[in-house]
Amino acid sequence: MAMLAKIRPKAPNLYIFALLLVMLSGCVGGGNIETTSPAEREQQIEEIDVFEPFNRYIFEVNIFLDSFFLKPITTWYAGIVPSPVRRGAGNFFSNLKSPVVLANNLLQGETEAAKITTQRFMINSSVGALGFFDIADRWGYPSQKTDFGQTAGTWGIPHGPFLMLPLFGPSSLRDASGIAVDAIFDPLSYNIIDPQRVLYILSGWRVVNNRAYFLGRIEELYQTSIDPYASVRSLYFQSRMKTKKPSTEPDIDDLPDIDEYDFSQ
Amino acid sequence: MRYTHAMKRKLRAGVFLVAAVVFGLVVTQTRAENAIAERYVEGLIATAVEILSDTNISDEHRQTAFQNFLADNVDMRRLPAFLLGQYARTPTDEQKADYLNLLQEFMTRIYLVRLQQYADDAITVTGSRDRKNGREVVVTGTIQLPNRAQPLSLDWWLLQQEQDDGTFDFHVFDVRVAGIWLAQEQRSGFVSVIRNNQGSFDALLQHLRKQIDSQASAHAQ
Repeated sequence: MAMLAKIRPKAPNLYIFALLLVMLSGCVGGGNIETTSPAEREQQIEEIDVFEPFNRYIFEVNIFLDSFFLKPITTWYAGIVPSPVRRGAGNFFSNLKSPVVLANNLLQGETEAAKITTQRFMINSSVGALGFFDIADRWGYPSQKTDFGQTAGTWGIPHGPFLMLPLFGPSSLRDASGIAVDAIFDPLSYNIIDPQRVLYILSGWRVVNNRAYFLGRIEELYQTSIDPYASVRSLYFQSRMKTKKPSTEPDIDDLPDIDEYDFSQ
Repeated sequence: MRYTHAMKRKLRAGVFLVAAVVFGLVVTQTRAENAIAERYVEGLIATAVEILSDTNISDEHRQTAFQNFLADNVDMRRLPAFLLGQYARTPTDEQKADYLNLLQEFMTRIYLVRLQQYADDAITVTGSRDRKNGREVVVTGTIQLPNRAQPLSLDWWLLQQEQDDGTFDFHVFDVRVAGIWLAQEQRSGFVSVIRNNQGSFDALLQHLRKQIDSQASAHAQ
């Protein structure tokens, strides 16, 4: 009992609040972008960015914080930690998130995906040295990555307003609430390791390792985009709707009709 | 004239045969078009890699070669209008001419920066699918990045255009990298700039000029 008492979420009230927000996102307005064509999507994305001035402000704050804190640490980290080790760390953190993926596979009713996630976790945690090597992928068990934002989407809950979150970056009311719900299943959210500072070190390492993956790419986007904020918003919504795996049969049914766009007329 | 049962059966068989031949011809033609589209993309990749990774040419030469490559292969009829979204009909002829020139230079500079880092990565064409009777073909492929176990998906959306001599050529309308359509991302920025400047098209031209200048000065350093 004493052992169970120790294993408790860091902020239980936050999860209840997050669930309320998910339900609220269905009431606040903003279309369900997944159900429309990309031509209409662009218009809808602008319409659901009701907090644009505030979001742009947070975006600038995030760039400032990233440039002065996260990016210097990440640059130093990427300089001393070789790429294969960073990839291994990425695999380790992905493996650690398996309970989150499994819970969402099940909540979406994707039993086959849930089976693969379980097999991946068992293979990678043992043969894959605690997940540092993604052996399961090589053995034909590809990642079934998903989150509670997507789960809520499959339940028909729309995105709600677009949000630029401090430190977390682009999101929507639904997906932001999902971050907190996913934390219920995230082992790093529980006091399961003693001393607790090990958890903080792991959490910090995960942030820096993830940022290292995008080192150079984020800067390149800022340099080459005419409006970086609008680009990040577009990338966010496109990435939330993309197909998961490379395919020989492209999904062409949701392509916009471009016949009306013609400069030669 | 009265049709006997045997005649009706022969007529039905004849109609079925003609329909099967026509269907077969359409399918064969579509497959041939798709194969041409796939070969076209393979050619594009080879040329782009040659331009981006040639160590014997100067940066200036590379930029000119890349600009010509884009001018020959990117659809400049529909893409520039698509990038403007709901503002596609707002520019005057003069603004339109300015916009087309600036857009070509803007695309050359940004895609030269964006694509250079992928010049050494293995790109493979894996298939294709057409729509609108083959007037549009999406060619699929993959790119294997060195820091990833699995390849990323890479798709090319091609449009068939009639040339002055009556023949049809493919042009690239958009490219999708790992599920992200690049033209749609650019469109988001263009539309946002015009909208946030009370619908002013000149604001977009100004932003394009600024972006080109900033890329030029970064390149010069």
